[in-house]
Amino acid sequence: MSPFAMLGDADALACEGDSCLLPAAVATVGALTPPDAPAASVHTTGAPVPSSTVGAQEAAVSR
Amino acid sequence: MTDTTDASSAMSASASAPALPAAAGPIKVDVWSDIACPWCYIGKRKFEDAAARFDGEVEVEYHSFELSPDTPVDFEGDEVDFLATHKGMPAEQVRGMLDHVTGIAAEVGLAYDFSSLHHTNTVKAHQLLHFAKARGLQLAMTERLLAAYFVEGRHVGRVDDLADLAAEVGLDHDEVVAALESDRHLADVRADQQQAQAFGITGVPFFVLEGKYGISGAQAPEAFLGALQQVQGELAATSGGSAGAAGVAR
Repeated sequence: MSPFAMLGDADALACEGDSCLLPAAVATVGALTPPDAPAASVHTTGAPVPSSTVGAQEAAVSR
Repeated sequence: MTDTTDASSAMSASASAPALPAAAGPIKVDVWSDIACPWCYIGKRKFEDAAARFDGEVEVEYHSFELSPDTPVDFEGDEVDFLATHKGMPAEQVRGMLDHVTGIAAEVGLAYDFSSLHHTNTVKAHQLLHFAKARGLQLAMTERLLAAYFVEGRHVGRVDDLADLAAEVGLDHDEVVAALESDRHLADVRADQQQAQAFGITGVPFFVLEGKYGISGAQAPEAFLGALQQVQGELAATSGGSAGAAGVAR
């Protein structure tokens, strides 16, 4: 449990464990193309942010 | 953006919640990152973009995070070989995926070259970053290592190669070799990792603003900028003045 209030887009590109590069499924590879700045909103509550606007890029890639 | 790279870090001193600043000043940003993390380099660029547009001063300190600590120092083969062999993916699929990542990097001005990338263990590179931090050169060393790994196909796992890269940013080659061979900063790396664990950080890049706000991943510059402005506003309200109005220092 993070002690921080989370800001920004909850689905931004990130690496977790050895999951960075490989697509979880071939069909999701296209999601690697960044969206048109969907992450401008700032969230201060730490509440989950809907991923539908972002394409769930983190989940789409793994290494 | 200033380089908070002296030997004593408030963030590394304790795994307890960091204290908020008493008065307005540079916004402290602690970044957990790994060298072998494509989104960390992309995120670094996006954050720098935001910091350049931010009307205030930002103080950055990097912290160690190993994504794949069991990676051998020397892996024979390129990125396609590694992924195809270890993940069982068809080479063509790997190449297509890498092309996408390379394209995203290119959008922020980074010329990733996965065909020349050397897979390696990054624990020595992290030790080097602590060595550089103690000499006020952590940001320069971070940039040098990321470029060496993702753009230039340099090896960032071997002591001699790391010492060569360190010399390029002004560190003493032989001193670096001695520090890395003796694991002088291994405890510092482990302390960063333990703090990340205590904070619940499971992915990188992870940015912590003023020990209070967390930002995960390679966010759009607008997201970083908005977060910096929010923190600046809160600091100004707390101190009754303007936080870091002296301008941006990079």
